[in-house]
Amino acid sequence: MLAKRIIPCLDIDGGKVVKGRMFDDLVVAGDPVELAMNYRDQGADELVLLDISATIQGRKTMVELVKRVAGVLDIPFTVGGGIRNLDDARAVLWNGADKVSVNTASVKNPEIITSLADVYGAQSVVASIDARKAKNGGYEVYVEGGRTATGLDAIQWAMRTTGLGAGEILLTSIDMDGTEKGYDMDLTSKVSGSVAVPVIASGGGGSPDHIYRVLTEGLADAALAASIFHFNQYSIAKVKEYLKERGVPVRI
Amino acid sequence: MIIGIVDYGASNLFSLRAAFERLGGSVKMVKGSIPDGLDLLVMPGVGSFGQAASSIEPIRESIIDFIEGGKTFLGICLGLHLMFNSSEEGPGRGLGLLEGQVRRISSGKVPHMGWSETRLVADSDLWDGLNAMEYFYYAHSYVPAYSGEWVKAIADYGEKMPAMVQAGNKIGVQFHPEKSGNSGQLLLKNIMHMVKK
Repeated sequence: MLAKRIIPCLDIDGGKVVKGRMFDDLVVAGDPVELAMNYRDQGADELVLLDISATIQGRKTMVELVKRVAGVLDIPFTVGGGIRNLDDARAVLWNGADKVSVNTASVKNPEIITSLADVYGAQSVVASIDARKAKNGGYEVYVEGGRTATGLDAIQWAMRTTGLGAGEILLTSIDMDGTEKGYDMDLTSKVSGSVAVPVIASGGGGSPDHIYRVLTEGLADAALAASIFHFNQYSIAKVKEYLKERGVPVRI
Repeated sequence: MIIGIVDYGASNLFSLRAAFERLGGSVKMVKGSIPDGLDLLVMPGVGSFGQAASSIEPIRESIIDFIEGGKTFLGICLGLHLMFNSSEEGPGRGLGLLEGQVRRISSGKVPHMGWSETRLVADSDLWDGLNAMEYFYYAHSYVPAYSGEWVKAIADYGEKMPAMVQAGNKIGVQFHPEKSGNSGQLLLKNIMHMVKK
């Protein structure tokens, strides 16, 4: 049986891990390589490294960091943030990332997904989708770190990305991100129910119960969280025990 | 021990190389030809079947000679698929080391992505120190059809999938040992141990 995955996310700026609240107000939380190994030892199934650097220098630092992480880490990791074109994707994949996630670039140029999938395989391509509840009751896709509305419907866009070749969807609720009040269950279940690829739920995870709910009612295949792990509120092992007791298949 | 990793240009051999080096192996990347003195040849798992099949075409015969000479071969993920003649994923021919079809996964979400319970179904030295049921990391959309004798371990994903195959000096794994934490490390160690014997 396939286990549900617990995925800590490391937001990285200039080579350091930071964690934001509602996409700004950054707090520094630690050294990425040390934290990555620590999570691996705690039982993380996978990691996401998200580059939030705004500068060219920051991006160069990121590629170096990817290499350092890949040299020591023996679980899969995805790198996202600032992947604008095929060369950016290639740089992280050639330096040891298992998957690359594309967000803004894929909305501007959807063919990037197909090009990446053709060369690296669908399993290496993650469509990262940031969505916010819209007035019409649906969900709208935002890009540029959640700042720019696109007019795209999140569910339609999710289906389109998988048609283009994405092998996985990283779905973030902008409304819930950083709140630690729980994942957007409605958004997650709608997207997961509409696509044939795994969905990683993100944004709002603040307790083992939130993770339990999104992996069951929320239909998510994996749950991503940052703050609750970074600040040692809950260890990954504790979260997995909680899930196992409730019958969710997890790797322990 | 010298380990050759076939580089067919599709990326990410970094992690695989690092995994063998952590275990004390000395790694050579194999491009145009197979260098002398290799103890183990590894066919990694990145990219798509069609692309990989055409990339290995120039060294196809020398890979087969290497294996027929009694040296150990390890195929990982797509590398396992390349041990067969062909795949539904794309054109081109594999190495034809094993009989059977490689097909698209027909149940559940595709790709089969994540850690799946993997069960030993026939004795194998390669499993030494591992539990009868272990989690390994998978990321694939195609899989060889399940067929009896050479299947040593299976994963159940709506259908029974070969997870590890072994036919003499030919080993193939559908999962990624280099990405499977401690269990993966132990399996690679066992493979290196088998090569040393």
